[in-house]
Amino acid sequence: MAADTPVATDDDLFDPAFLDRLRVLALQVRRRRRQRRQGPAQTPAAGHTREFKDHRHYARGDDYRSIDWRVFARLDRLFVRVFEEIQEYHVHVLLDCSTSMIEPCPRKRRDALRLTVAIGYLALSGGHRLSLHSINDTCRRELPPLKGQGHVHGLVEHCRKLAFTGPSDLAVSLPRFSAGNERRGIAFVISDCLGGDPSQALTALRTMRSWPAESHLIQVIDPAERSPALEGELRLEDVETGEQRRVWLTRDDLARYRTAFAGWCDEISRTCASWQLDHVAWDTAQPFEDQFLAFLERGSALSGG
Amino acid sequence: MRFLLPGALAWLLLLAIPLILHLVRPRARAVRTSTLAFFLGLDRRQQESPWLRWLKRLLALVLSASVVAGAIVALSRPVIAPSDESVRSVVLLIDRSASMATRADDGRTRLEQAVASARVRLAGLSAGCALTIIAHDARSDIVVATTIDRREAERALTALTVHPVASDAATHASALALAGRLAAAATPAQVWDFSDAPAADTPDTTLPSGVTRVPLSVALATPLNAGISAADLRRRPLEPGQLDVFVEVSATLAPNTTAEAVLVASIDAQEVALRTLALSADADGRCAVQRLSFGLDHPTGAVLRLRLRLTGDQLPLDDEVELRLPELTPLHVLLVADEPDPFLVLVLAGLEKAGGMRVERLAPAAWTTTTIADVVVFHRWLPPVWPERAVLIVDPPGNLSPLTVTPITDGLPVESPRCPDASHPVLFGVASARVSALQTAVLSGDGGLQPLWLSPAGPLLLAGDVKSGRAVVLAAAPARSARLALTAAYPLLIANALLWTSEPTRERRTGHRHRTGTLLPLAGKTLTWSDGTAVSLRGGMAALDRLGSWSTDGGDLGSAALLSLEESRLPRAPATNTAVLNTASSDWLSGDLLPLLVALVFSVLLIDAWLCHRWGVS
Repeated sequence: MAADTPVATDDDLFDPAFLDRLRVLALQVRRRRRQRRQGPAQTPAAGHTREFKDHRHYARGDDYRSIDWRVFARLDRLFVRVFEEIQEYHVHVLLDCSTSMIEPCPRKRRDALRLTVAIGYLALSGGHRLSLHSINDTCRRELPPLKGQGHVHGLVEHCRKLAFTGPSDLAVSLPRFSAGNERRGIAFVISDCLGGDPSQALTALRTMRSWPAESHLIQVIDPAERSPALEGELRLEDVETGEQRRVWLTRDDLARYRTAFAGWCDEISRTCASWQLDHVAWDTAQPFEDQFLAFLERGSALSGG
Repeated sequence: MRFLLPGALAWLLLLAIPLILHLVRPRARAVRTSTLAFFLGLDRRQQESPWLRWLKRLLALVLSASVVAGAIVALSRPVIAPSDESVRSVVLLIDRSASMATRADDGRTRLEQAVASARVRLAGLSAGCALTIIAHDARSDIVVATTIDRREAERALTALTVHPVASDAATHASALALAGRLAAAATPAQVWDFSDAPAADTPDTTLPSGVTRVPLSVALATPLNAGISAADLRRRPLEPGQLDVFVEVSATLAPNTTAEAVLVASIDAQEVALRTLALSADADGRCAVQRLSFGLDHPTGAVLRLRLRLTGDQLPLDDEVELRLPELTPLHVLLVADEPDPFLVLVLAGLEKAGGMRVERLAPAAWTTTTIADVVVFHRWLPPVWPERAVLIVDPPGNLSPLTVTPITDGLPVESPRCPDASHPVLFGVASARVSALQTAVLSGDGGLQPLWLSPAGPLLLAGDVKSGRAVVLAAAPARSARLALTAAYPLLIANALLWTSEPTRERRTGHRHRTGTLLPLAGKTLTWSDGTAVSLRGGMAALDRLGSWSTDGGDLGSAALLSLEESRLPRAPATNTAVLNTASSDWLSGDLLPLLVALVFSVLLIDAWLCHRWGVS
């Protein structure tokens, strides 16, 4: 069903111009990060890198190999050397691959894939690990954890092949995702949250609260969904379930639809805020770069925030 | 039902349009959407089942077809009315006399019923049929001259009102004759005669050839009414300051029933008398005329108001009468005689002593036509020319036009003279059967003089109007009569004669009593009625078309009342009166159905719009 829908071609999705813009975007992110803080992803913790950070008095249990004997010789007191620790994150991208992400608004698929690639590019170029999961009525790992900038091409190629089909069921798919405890993670859920009962999506978001990771929900909504240009007698068909209904829409009906849809989006935003989840309302009609930079500026470990 | 424009029904083919639109209506546009959840939550009608949608569409088709069909049928002008396509002109003859104010149980007057029935029948006329409307009571008025303009006729019918004026068979006949002449201008024609007149009173007027009368009675089946059909006031001849009130009541009730009516007399809102009348109807519902009188002792005030009350009375116009009270000033009597009869002098002296008269004597030589008096009494002497005033002539010596006197030598004794008109006011209270007089001459008079006493030789007492005054002539010698001067009849007769003859003169000062519909010459420019209504006098004439007392700025006074036995005795509807009654029972579904259909079409449109917006029926 999804394959039959005329959408943007893969070449349009990740053309060289987009990748160039992505590199520029990554530089902009690094520049901003340097302006705010020295060093990439510095943390208060001390580590075992070569970068000297400070001295402190020796205490029992400290590794004797870190004692600075030169200072001892000069001061006759034991001091140990403290080095910088650079944190490595595990970035998880959960991409909604249900049918509603490609029909009837193919721009949602385009922006969702570009978001996936952009986040992956930043993660790989920042030395973090990257995992890609597809969610619809289940959750499936698409790629093993990747590390290193050399995997960007593989990521792009895999995203091109992703199929958007099936119904969406966040209540089932999100609990099946496990962020893991091996290292600190950042999870990005890219979805329109549509499918089934709208109230179930709110309930499903509760699952993200339990993840041991910094969680972001990027809700991709097309303007045609927020305010459909429909009127008169229609035979509506749900692209995910195939259910059909005849309706007669008046302007009053559309006004109530817009009010209900906006209220639902606001409810998602409030729910995320109450559960300390970051919620981003992604508008496919807005320029990608502007929205992505604004998203990073909101604060994320990925962007050093 | 029939259609005035049946050709318009061909437009019913337009019914195919909503049918075609229903059958070939465009299918619903298919739209794929991310989720149906928000659409399904919009309204209940998004949840409706297919059979309900089918039912709604069928209802929408029925409503659309109803609108189209109703509009086309309305354009074809459907009417429910009797029709006669051959009629070229119609004259509406509508009775607007007082009895047409009778209200039925539904609150409508007979005139309103007649107008409603006329509208129904008019709707059935072809557009080219000429129409004339004549309204009549005591006189006939052409309300609408011959026209084909239905709106003008409609306006005239709406403006028709009841006149509190009596009509009778003669006036009805003259109105019918007028209608016949107007209808004859374009024959074949019909005269629609709307009236409550009983069938027995229907005028037998010969209408012109080609003109047919269609009697349409609007009389009630069971009328109920009691009314004052006559009322009068009179001074008591021998008791100055006392007034006699005479009232005649006629009534119509349900057949073989009884009722009780109450007559209340009041002066300046103060009740002065109350009488109860027991009414009993015969098999036709008619009650015998009841006459009653009562006295008023030195009444003070200007107007005596009589009101008759009967539970369920349907005609109010004959329930109230206003009478102006006469002046109680002494009557000025002038006796002209050389040697007056001592008994005559004695009677006049007695009346003067009682305070009711002021008597003066005058020698015949001093008589002039300009002598001032209310009544002049001539005894055995006559002036050269009949005086144009009230006169009482006793024992006339010779002829004086228009009076012819044939003397009887030595006189003729008369016992119990015959009375052709015993109810004449001059004989009120006079026991004519006990009179024994000596007739001195045989009287005869032209014009208005009528005999009141007749002997085998001829009349010995005359009374009537002569020239511009009233006159009473008595050819008897009281002094030579056996018992005339010794009984109460003689002074009563003289007093009655003096009061009766002077009545027009006194009424000129104290107010005339008239029946409504009278046309009067009056002094002044404005006539003001007791209810405050002022009417300008055109040409010094006024038609008394209201009830109550009135006065003019020229000093004239008077009162007007219906006082009609014919109007108070309400007629009953004939047994075969179906033409009007049928239409009266279903006015909303009779006559021109155009307004009804237009209202129906608009109602269906409103229902259609409401169903479309509220329930999505489309």
